[in-house]
Amino acid sequence: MLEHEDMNLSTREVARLLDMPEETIQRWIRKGSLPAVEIKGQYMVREHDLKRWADMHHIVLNESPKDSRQGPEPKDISIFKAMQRGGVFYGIKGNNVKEVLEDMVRVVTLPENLDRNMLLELLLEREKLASTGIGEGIAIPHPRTMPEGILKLPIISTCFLEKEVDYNAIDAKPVFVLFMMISPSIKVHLEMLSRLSFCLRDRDFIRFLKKSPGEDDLLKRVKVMEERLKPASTTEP
Amino acid sequence: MSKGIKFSPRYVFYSLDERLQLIIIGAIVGIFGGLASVALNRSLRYFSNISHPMRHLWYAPLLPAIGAALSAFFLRQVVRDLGAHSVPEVIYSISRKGGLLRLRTSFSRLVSGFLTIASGGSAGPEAPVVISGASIGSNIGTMFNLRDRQREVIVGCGAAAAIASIFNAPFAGIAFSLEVILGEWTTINLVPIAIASVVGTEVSRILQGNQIPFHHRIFHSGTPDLVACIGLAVLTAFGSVMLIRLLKVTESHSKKVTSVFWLRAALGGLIVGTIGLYLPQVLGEGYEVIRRVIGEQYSPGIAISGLAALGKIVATSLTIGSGGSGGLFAPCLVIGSLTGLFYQSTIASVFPSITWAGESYFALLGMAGVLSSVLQAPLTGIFLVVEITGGYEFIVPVVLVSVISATISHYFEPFSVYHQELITRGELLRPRTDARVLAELNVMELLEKDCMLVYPEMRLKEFVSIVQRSHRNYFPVVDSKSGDFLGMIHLDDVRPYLFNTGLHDTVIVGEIMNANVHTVSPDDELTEIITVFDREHSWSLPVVQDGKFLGLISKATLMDHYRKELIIQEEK
Repeated sequence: MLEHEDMNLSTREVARLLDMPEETIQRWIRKGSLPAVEIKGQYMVREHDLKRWADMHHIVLNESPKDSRQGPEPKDISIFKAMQRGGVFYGIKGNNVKEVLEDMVRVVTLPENLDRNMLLELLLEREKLASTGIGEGIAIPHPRTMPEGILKLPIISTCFLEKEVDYNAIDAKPVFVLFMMISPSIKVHLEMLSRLSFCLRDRDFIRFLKKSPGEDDLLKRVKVMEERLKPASTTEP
Repeated sequence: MSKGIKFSPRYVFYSLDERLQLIIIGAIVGIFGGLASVALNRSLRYFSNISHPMRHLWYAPLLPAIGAALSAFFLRQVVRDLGAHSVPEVIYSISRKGGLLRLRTSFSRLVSGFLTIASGGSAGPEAPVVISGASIGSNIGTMFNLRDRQREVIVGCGAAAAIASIFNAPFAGIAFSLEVILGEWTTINLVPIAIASVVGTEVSRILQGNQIPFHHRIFHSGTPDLVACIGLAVLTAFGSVMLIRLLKVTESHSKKVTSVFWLRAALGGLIVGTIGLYLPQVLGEGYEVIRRVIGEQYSPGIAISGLAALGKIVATSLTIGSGGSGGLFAPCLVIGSLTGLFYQSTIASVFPSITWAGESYFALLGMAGVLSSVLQAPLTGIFLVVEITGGYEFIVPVVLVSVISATISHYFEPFSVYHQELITRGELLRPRTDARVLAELNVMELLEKDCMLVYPEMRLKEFVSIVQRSHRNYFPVVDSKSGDFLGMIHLDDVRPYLFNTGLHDTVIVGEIMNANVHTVSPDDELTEIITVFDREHSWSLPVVQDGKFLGLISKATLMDHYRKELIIQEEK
């Protein structure tokens, strides 16, 4: 933007920068409160003038477009892709929550910049607040928050346990499978969680999981389920 | 018969109308302000008779050095009256402290100003007189139990009386006080200030006689002179910009030279003294120079008058910038008169065929131009020059030069030399302005405490039931044991998931809260908080002190209080 020092801004652009309705901007220009020029019957404000004016009136210009502060929109999120990225693992060992998490963190594939010890600590910390065992023998271990900038895309690693483990789950049933979920933001996390929980509500799917299906079969099934979900899950306008 | 009714002067006074009270107090302040200025003026005149012959001795440059050092030492160590320059300090006190000034300020600057100026430092007696007048006003106001708003007016009275009496110029006092010190022209201000101004002038007339400080010759001016004024206005504008910039430079650089305050002042004084060896015109407050220029007894030629004007600019910046005590009024007048003289000699030699109005004509206009520009107060410049010279007949060119010069210099230096520092610190708060309203409100007044706290280990199910019972969109999250603030949940961010019962047991509050929310502290200024609101696009911000959540501050409440505060301030 700085390259064109004398760029002319339309009243609509000025309205966006000042976070005010266009009608207000036009009224201010008519009153002479906001410096403007008239080009072909249209009010235009020179960018340089606007900056000076805003500075003089201690008004902060809204330079960044609206979506940049929100992070990625949850529209393009897919648990199928996240599970593909995270991989499926079998025979995770351990007799209690801590041990299975330790073994899981050791074997799963992770992005290079994600430190395994740190991840384990975050997972344990989250379990301490409340168990992530959601019932029916399923747990979704995940860190409460991720340090910013480590992940761009969410990951779900599916880990079948060697033997069932008491996980303090909500229905007190022992856990046989872990879906470790790592998300770049709270928004993404919630959207992923809501999709995953939709799938896990399906009794057939849980029975299918109990058979420790092969990676290809599992992902195929998730893909089919998620496609069914898509039209229903329009969470954002 | 009259049992129970106390009839005392005090009772009578407090039963009077507020405006009448202010007028009476204004008159009292006028007397003392007038006395302060007569005292400083007399002592300066007395001392200049003694010191004048010494200016040609070998040790002459040492005098301003010793004077400046003593003056700085006196202020810092003896009376411990620190602070900004005199006039900005008065304006600051009106902006932020309800016009409160310390009692010792009423004499400390008179003494330090005397030491600086009498020893030859290039500064004027006006600023010390203004601050002591203002401080007298402030303390008398406090004695009468005045409220902040009234005390501010009385401080303005003190300043007006001081200027009016030192220059024998009542209207300049009024203009200065309204234009520079208070910054608003309202009737409730005008009346007491006018009274103080008149009383101050009268005190000085009784004690020193009614004399016009600078007599001028009668001159006959024509259209060429009026046209030539425009050129002079350009010249005075540039002289003023130079003075303002040089002041800033010396002030910031002198602190780098040495951190020993009295040594700094002494060094500045030494340089001024050395300049004074070659250009004695630059020393002291310079009234004598103006008198000779206006009386047309001083015709040094183009080069010397130009050099003297420059020398005065440098000497003034050094004296005041290095920590000497004194004002800019008199130096501005000297610079203006020398600039006028220089301009007249120049045009006279370029257009010898035209009969020009004379040196004093342009000298007077130069004074008005420089004063108006440096103070960014054209009315003060116009009335002061007209009053101190008795030259009402040439008000047209004075107005012309004042406003043109002030406008041109405004382009380069938009703020008055007195306001500049306060504006950069964001502390020039004129009544009924956004900054003033925001400054008067504080975070604790706006705090909303009726928020429902939630804890990080709460499951979404419990959170939803809290949402059902609450009437807010923001939920602060605190640690259930220590009570420390952890983050906030904004309903908008989680709304789509609240009704997804599949998540009710899976999700806990700790993972949906925004831990990076911007917090504010109770001591934050509202102006900063508004910027945070704008930047974060937020409607509510948590107020946190020592890690503990106190409440929320919301834009809606702020707007409501803002409007009421504005209405209250309008009630003058």
